[in-house]
Amino acid sequence: MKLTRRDVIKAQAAATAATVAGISLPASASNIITSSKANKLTWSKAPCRFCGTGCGISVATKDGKVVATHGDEKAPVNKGLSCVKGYFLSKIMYGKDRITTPMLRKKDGVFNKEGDFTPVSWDEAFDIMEEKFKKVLKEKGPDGISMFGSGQWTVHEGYAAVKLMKAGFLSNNIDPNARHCMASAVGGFMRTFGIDEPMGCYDDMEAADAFVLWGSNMAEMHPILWTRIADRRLSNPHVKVAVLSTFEHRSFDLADIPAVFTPQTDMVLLNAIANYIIESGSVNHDFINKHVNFREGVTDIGYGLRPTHELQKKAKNPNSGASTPIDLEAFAKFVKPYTFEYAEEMSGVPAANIEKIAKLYADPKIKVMSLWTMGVNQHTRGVWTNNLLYNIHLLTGKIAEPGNSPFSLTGQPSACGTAREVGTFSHRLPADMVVKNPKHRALSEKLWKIPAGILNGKPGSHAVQQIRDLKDSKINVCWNQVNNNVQAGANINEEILPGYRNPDNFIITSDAYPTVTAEASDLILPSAMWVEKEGAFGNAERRTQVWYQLVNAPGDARSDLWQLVEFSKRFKTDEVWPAEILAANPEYKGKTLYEVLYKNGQVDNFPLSQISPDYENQESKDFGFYLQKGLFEEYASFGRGHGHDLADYDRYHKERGLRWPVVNGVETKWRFKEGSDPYVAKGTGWQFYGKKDNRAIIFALPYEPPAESPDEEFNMWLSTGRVLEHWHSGSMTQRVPELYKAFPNAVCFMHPEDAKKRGMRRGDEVKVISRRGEIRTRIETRGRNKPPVGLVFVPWFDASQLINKVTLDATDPLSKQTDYKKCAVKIEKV
Amino acid sequence: MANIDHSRRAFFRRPSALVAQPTKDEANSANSWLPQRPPWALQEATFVDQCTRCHECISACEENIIIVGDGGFPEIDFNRGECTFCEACLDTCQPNALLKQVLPNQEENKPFYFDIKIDDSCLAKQKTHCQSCKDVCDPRAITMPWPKNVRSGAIQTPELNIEDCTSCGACISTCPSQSITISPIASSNFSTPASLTAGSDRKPELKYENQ
Repeated sequence: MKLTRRDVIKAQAAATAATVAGISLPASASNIITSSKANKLTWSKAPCRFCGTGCGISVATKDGKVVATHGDEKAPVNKGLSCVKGYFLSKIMYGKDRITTPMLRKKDGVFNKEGDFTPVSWDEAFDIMEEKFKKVLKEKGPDGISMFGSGQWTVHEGYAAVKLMKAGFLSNNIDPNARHCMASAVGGFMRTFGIDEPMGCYDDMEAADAFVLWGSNMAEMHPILWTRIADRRLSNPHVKVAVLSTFEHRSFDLADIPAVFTPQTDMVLLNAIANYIIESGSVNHDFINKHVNFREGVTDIGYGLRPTHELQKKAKNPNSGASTPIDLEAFAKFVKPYTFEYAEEMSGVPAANIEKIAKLYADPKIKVMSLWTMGVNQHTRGVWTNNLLYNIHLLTGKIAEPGNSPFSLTGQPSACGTAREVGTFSHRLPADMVVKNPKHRALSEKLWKIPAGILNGKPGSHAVQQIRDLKDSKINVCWNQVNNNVQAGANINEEILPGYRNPDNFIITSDAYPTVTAEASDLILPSAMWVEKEGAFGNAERRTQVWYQLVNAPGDARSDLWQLVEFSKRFKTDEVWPAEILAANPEYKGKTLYEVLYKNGQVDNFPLSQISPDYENQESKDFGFYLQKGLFEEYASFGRGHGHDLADYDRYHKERGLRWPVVNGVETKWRFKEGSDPYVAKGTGWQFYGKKDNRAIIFALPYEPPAESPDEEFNMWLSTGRVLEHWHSGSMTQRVPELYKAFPNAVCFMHPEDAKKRGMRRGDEVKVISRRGEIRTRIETRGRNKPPVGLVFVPWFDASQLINKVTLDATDPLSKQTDYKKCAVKIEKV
Repeated sequence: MANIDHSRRAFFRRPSALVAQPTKDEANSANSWLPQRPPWALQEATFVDQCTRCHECISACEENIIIVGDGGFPEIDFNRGECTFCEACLDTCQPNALLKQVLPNQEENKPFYFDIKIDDSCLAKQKTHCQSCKDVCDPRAITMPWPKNVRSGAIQTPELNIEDCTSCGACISTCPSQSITISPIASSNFSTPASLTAGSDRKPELKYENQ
């Protein structure tokens, strides 16, 4: 028997996964000298369920169960590698407390907000949901209901959800938890380029001469991309890596230029670099003259708090994103005060190090890739900071070509593909369109085949606003899917829990596991997850990846897609659409939302016979047509010909993903650049076609202080974040025994001197206290994170230590994204 | 009591434990297999003689890693956590079955004499990004150097410097793939102090071998 290297790796993965899963494979199978055939494993492809990197995973199934996973050698993103989370993906579906039936809070056999969770049928679950939705819609109209989803929705699910809420219920109160994650990045893209998502791609990592991390710990959060950067750095001695952060973390292992800065002063550093580029004569005037406009933004815009908050009242221009045109000269004058000396004084980073980083950008011979994630986005000036990052790439013309790449990394597997592209934000429609724009609404109405003028033009409540509205009884029904907001949202004590337990409200949560959010709800719906359904994700480099349903979901668990579409059967147009619209369009009268949204002659266009005979497809078989293909093709009609072209659905089943725009069957690696982007006209060089004049914008924006800084009483900065082993709120990874034991509980990372000052030792139990709440945790003075004196870092994956009781719900006033990276706390010994 | 043949018992109960290689000293005794005793344990044969199985050390251990082992004698289970060398077990041991003593070379006996191995099931060695053991290693005996040949993916793999390892066991419980094994190769007091075995002429002697 001849074995290839691939067979051996697969057998190894199967053996290890089987051992840890407690399944005994035949003796021969635990031996690596066997072929995958002998194991009777079926291997298929799927993108990883976790982060926005979008690694390809080979998934083995046996007897209806996923038994092994390993990095897919054919996947261009990860080339066979995976991180420890991806390695244990096979186990995320098999936690002991998997929810397999709908559960409703009941007392004496009927729904009661104070009752205990009782198993109910899908019919009973939908009955109570229908009753609550109809009651609220009747009393308050579409503004009284809401839906909160995430970038973990598949493309199909996000699209079905947007359609149900915006086209069905005519409510724009739908938002993804990408609001807590990528909203500032979106704001940055829209403001600077007028079109969302990175122009470059991961191929930049093999072409750049320098990498600068601005508030990103890629070594833990995007480990596979980090190996690509490490590869480049280690095999090319001239390559430099600069790592900027408010504390030292694992990415500093590879840093040639490390820089720990005072929270919020990244804005000072970025302006100082812009100033250096100008003063050293490194501006690319040819590029600027042809492709860039300058504008000065309005300042003092507040902190996205409730209007009654002191800080909000003080702001001169609360929530304003207005700007006025200026020129290079005025911009130069604006950034002139940002000298290296001033930057050093503000940030604590030695001027010499700032200069080293500035030179990477200024030197025309060095190709620079900037990378950032939550450090920049979860920032009360997140949109501004994104703008400032693009400034330094635009000033030097280092953009949209191999290696020259400002690259916004994402956190969730489909933050780009679903949350952003499909338009699940409260202000958006598919393919970068917005509800405010009447032309965009008209186009959507046409493509959705719904009556003209029916869509709601007022942006709905965003994530943080939804929570405030629930507390204030303005919204009374909220349906959560694929998120864990009671753990992930900010300021749980003062805002989220009061909203959820408000007696006026009915909260529905679809989840696979009893998360804290599910437990705080009134009705829990059991969800199918990952390869228990057919789906599609879009990663950070615009790569759309599709997978088949590989196993069945346990018990009565159903995909979020099935839940949305099935629930739509409960409503007639007469109950939810305005009478005058129905009078003008009588053909819609008496129809269910299911009929006008999904069985509409488009989504139901593809028969079951087009589904691969090798795979299950629960939803399609239930509804009688190839639902996923229908939804995808209808959705794709929004973007084709508009810079968001997707390939034919069937092709994605064959490919390891394709980067949009896919024009004439060819993917696009670098957008906006002549030669690599089919939308750019010949002879122009670059065209930033998101803007009408094809010019990107450089914004003059100052440093503004954070919403809360340490003082005498609350004398430490608190930053929150993730760890490698756990993905986000730990709802899946904490149920994998190996990942749990690798990092069982959250800890408070602290500088040893800070601990000593307070008479604390590593392992001591402490309280982390802010003005809003407190948690108990333990001090950690060693390990992966080494905060400077005056800052502590607490990861938020641990449901037993809800750090978001402590965090502030200040947001970026433009993107409404919460700042989880800085607030003031004190640490006390228990 | 000293006549218990642990190797025989271990053969049936935990065959894998037989892998531990005894030192000459220990080999000369009746025991060729060594259980993971609490730190500063007497030579195995003497330990089982002296220990009254009062389990005070078990209650004293703040980390809760000492368990009732084979025959009712205390053993450390590193799967439960790590030894912080706080000496609470040592202080509480009435019969002095745990004992710190000054060796002829003027150094104290080490709490453990052991071998530690990271086997090939290590995720990092299988191209899976994982650094859990390195992060918990207080003495920094485990490092994750960048690979010299990065062509097949720059994943850092663990390197173990046994000279710096204290056998605290922190890496054992944290390793997701259970790839790290610590095996005692000698008792902490692998030669029993003269005061405890009248007439013995054996002198404590360090015979640490890096395997």
